[in-house]
Amino acid sequence: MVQLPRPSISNIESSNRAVDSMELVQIARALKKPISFFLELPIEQIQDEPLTVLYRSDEISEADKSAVDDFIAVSKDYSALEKLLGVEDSSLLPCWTGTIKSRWEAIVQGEKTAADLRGYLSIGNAPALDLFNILEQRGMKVVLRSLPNSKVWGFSITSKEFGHAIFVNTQSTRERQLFTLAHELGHTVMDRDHTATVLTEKKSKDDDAREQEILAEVRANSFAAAFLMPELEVKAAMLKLGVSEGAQEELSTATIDYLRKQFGVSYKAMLWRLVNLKVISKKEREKFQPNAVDEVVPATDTLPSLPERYKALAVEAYRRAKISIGKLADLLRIDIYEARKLVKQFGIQQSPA
Amino acid sequence: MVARLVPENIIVSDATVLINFLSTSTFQLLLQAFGGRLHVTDAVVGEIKLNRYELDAAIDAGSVVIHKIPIDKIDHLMKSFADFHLGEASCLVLAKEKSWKIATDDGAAKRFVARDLGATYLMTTLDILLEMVALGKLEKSRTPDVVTRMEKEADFLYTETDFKQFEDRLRSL
Repeated sequence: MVQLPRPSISNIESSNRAVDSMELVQIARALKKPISFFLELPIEQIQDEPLTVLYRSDEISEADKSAVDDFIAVSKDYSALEKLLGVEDSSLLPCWTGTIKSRWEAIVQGEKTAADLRGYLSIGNAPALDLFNILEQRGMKVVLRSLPNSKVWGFSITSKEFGHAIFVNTQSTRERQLFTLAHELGHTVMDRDHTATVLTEKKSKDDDAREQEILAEVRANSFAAAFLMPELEVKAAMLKLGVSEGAQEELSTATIDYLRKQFGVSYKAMLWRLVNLKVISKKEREKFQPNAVDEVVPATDTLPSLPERYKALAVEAYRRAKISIGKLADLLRIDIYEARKLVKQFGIQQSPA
Repeated sequence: MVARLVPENIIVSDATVLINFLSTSTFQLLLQAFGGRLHVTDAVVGEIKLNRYELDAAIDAGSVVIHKIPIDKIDHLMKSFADFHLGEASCLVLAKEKSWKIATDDGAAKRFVARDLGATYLMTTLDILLEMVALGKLEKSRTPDVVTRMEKEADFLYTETDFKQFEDRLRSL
């Protein structure tokens, strides 16, 4: 807690009193924010920033805003580290945008873009279970955090300052997390002038949303399904189980459960994919509704997790004496003692001054 | 020629050095090495979480002087040199403003001091240990043991080159 009298806090809030460094440390700790967060531009000066867009979104609750702040802070720090080490990759992926006038167009565009992006990323048709790492290696910033009691599954931003970044709430099944990541990736590469989008439990069921927004969501869902479950690979996996095309009667809930595990998606998502690939009809889909086939247990880890590449960049920046040990601690959201231990564990010696 | 005044015993220390001495119960020696008085910033004090007893006692006794650095001064430095955290940045501001020496083991801070103040303004933990030996405050034979303890108990970080130079200088004392 911040050990400051209430009037002092009020004066700080109303800009009538300056904050000294010790107080800033206390405030940062109490709010679980890096110091750098408080030295950024005031909100009114960053109207066009994705942060503002996310803040204004009805889908982000007050409780979720702290995760948004942290997500933006990590994305900025990530970008700063890349610049510091001279490894800034144009993390901006190509944009395959196009206008969509109908649900059908949205589905077709999503499917096509998924195939195009797989080609661009050179990942063929293989299951993308490791999508988190694939994207990170391409310079995209993917932040995983637990948002308990939140309806937000994830959100994404595109900023001139730090490129693409996607947030995924880990308080959902692994399958949901992967689908959320692919869905937001779809927005990133297909939405014209993408700034920020949010995926929530509510949005996926809300039929009253604006038509264009629905189409953009349909397109992102189509993209996610096609990206995670490429047609050729799904059919190849079916063949390996002895289910040939046109012999759908050989399918069972057990086969579908096997398939969905192969591609890291939920049973429901695989079932819909089979419908869209015309392997089964919508009517047949009903008979495959599972009774006992559950999705994987929800993730329970609540520890903040930073992207692995981000952590590696921070340690490398320290090794090259481009950042101080205190800055390393700040970037990794740990204290200076833990930072010293980490550096020692890695056996890192700083470059001479 | 006008020589720049470098006060001999006015030292402002960052957390990297303080942690080494506080974690090995050699903090009193550190104070003695610098005439019984050490300067720190409030942000650095805030970074010290473990083995604070000796530090708190020294603050109460006036042996450790805490300087409050206005945030606008640090803000400026942190924006110019985004590679620093609050503690190091406040130390650098104070040392630069007062033309005091700075005690740090951090590579980025050492680079800043060498560039903006000059190498004579810099002291590392190993330099301080040598100073203690030179002043007769620490036995020469005990010194390697202190370094080992700092390494084990405080995760003291130094390079092989630094240590080799330290051993050479220690032998020459």
